[in-house]
Amino acid sequence: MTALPAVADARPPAILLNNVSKEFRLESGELVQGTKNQALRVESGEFVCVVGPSGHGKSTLLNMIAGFTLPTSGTIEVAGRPVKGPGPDRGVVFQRDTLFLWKRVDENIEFGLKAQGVPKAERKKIVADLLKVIGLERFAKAWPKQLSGGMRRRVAIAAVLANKPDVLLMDEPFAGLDYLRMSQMHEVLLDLWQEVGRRAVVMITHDVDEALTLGDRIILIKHGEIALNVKVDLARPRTTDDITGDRANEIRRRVLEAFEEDDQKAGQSAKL
Amino acid sequence: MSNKPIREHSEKSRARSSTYWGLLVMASLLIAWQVVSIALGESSAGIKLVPGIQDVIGAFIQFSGYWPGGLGAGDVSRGADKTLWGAVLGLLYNGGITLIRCAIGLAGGVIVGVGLGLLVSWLKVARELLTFPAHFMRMMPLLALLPLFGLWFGLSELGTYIFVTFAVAVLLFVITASAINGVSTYYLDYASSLGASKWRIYRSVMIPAALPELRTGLLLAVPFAWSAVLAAEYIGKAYGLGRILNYAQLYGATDVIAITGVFVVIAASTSFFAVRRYLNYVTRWA
Repeated sequence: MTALPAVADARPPAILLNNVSKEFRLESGELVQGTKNQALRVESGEFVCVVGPSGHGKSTLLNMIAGFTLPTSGTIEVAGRPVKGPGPDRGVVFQRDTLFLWKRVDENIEFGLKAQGVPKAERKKIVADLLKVIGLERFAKAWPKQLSGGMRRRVAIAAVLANKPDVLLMDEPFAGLDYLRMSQMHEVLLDLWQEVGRRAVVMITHDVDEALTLGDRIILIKHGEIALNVKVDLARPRTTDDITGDRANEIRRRVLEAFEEDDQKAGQSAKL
Repeated sequence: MSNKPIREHSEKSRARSSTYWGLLVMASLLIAWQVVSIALGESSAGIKLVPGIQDVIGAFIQFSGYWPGGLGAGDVSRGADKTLWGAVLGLLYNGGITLIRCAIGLAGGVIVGVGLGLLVSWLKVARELLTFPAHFMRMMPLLALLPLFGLWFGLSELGTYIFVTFAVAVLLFVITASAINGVSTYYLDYASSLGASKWRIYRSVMIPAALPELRTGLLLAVPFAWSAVLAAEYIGKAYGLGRILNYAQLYGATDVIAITGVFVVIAASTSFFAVRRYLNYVTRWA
């Protein structure tokens, strides 16, 4: 994949990466290439799952779209506007717990709205609705430390979604949750995603099953390059049968094979 | 949640057993003290280097000499008798003076130290201007500065306040700056991705996130302020516990020193626990 045309149709894509590279300088002074010539186009309403080995640049990609770090070369556009820094149009759910421990659950969800200057009555309503969706109405006044890991994840996602961002970026949001909790979270997430406007989602995961359950597309990042970009053309909502069916297994095989391919081949497939 | 009563119970019984042990250790210390006092006896100058417990109790009446007169007890320096009531008044009067000086100095130190620490973490210019001098000041031996404060401010109350404020502020400045510096960048990234302005992030993310570490610094500052105020009084004040210590040393009254020491311990721990209670409430989320 090489550079894509900047604007293909009337509506700009939710996310557009054009020849994006990112270099890091280690403390030793050595230059390391974290991201190499990535081109990617995510339409609004699309759910993209990013898989790949640890340390190969998945989080770097996410951080650049979020605007926490800027690319060394190339351009990133979100809804047609170049990314210059973090902003409320891109919500980020971190792998690490980032809930504000000193704010109660409802205040955590309210934080972004308050920052945008949303009037109080409206804020209260949005928070109440979200609390209902994540099933934590009774915990509105609890401190984060009083919640379980799964509950905190739900609050974290609600806090980001309160802002109604065009793009939702998630870095292994459900790592460490047991299977049952995780499927509950998937349902919550898909509900929220399909809600108004169908926002674009980019989610990093280590779990190919999770990617098959949630994604419209799976992207494999290896050595900073997009080694595979495959459509998950399974009907929704997806059941266990759907993600273990023939079509799903075929996609799973492609992803796993690309995962295990030796480095040189991976480099070639990225240029296909 | 369901095991909460059990845990509370075991915590309570653990606290109780640690109280028993604490009392036992205190009692053994008192006995050891008494033994040492009897063994040492009096020095050639007639001073008991370690006063016996009976001496200490007996010396309490000496505190009536530090009462300026009134409320039914006379001024001993003008020929009035030493009375127990006068001693109580004398101890409370001087203790109160010291407490007020300590509180004013501590409050000033918190405002200046935390304020400058916050300023430095907010403004790069302030950081570059202040960090080196602050570390330099921190290394300066505080007690060695005391005569200088004496020369600058004489016997005025302002001098005592400024000395305690200075002592506390230098400590808290360094701790505040490092607490803010230690706040995880994840919080900043997260808050800015929610659209929060720099000022909002600072006010409602950085400062609260730094509170638990700041709490440690503030708790250190309380006994520190007590030491500083006693030192300031020791050098040049008409009243206050530090002044009593100074006289007691002049006359070799180790028993008066012991009573003053116990009073300071009680007053300092009371203020420490009060401050801790408040800070625990403020950081109850942590």
